[in-house]
Amino acid sequence: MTEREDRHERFAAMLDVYGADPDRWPPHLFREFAPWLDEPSMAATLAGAAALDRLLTEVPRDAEVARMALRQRILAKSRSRDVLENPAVETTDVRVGTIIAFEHERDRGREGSRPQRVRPLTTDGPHWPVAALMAACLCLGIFAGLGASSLQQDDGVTVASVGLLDDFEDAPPVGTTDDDGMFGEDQI
Amino acid sequence: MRARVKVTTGDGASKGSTGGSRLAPAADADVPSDADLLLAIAEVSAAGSDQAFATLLDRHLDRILMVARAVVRDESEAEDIAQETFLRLWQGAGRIEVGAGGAVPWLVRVARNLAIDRRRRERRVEVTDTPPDSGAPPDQLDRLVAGEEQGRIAEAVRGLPERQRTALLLFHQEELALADIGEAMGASAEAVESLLARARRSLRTLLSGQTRDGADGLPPRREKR
Repeated sequence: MTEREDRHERFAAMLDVYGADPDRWPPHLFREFAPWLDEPSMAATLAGAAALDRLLTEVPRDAEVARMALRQRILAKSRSRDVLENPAVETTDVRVGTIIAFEHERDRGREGSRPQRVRPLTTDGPHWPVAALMAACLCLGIFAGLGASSLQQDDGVTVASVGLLDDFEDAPPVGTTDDDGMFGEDQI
Repeated sequence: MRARVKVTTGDGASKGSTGGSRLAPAADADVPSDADLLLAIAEVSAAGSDQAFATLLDRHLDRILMVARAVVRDESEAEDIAQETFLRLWQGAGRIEVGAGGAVPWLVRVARNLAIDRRRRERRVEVTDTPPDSGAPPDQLDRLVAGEEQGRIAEAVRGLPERQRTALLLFHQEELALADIGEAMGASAEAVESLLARARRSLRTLLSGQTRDGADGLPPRREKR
């Protein structure tokens, strides 16, 4: 048997299971056969399978089978909703610093494709030292900024954007009054 | 399918085993009541809750479908409503109060409300001046031929062995995935593949040359050497 005949044989066997709708073919089989679908023998086999699919849509719905399908759909859906409701069930490996790659088309349907932990940004253990350091830096920044601005005001140096501040030249510094540096009762 | 769910809780009878629940539809001591099953869904491991949920589904699905059908009168909508009702039961199992009637009153109430909501939404259809394009009416001969074809394929499908027929309809009409068909039928995915392949081959043999598509539509395949 030539390679072509073998491919056609396997294609026909796949159509016997999944029918002519490529959306329902397993991704690896779709990738295998997609380049050959224009070949006359393959196209004819596909057309035959499509004709049978069309006929099957005309079969009246069977109540018992429909109920079985509904039951199965509800069970399957309940499981997927459970995962959405309780993400911890399925995503225990996903933590801070986990990079989840989008699934590439060629990997679609491949079993065992899980998000991979690429590079953790934090390690296990207490996080308070990092948080404390960041808070200290923030406070230091605020105090340094306040100190610098009061120095500039004392020296009569314009801070920035002189043009924009023209209208406010005569105004007292923010949060002070002309006399004692505190808000008067009428200004509160 | 009957599940035997052993319910053990820290606070004993206070939560799930309400007095009325013992009088619920399944009064037999061996058969868990709806309250026990709800408690199992809410508190037991994933496998146990799956089983309990399946039992409740088997017990009440038909009734809920009937309730939904009575309001919406459309099969697919009724199925959607039944599905949503049971999913709400699954999600709220721990909060549902079960009385003497088991889970039925709650299920019926939710299904009816969902169905009524749908009916209300349907009534809010936008009215336009232009009638919908219905296309050309089918030719009488076409209809006759189509009717004959439908009868032939239906008969051919009915003639298939039971499991082949079920697998075929679950896949092509109900559009279930192979794994779901396997679960519904208690078979492996490979077994379902085999059932589907045999069913389609049998149909092709039966229908080859009989349909409007004729030999072009359903070409006989070469047998594998």
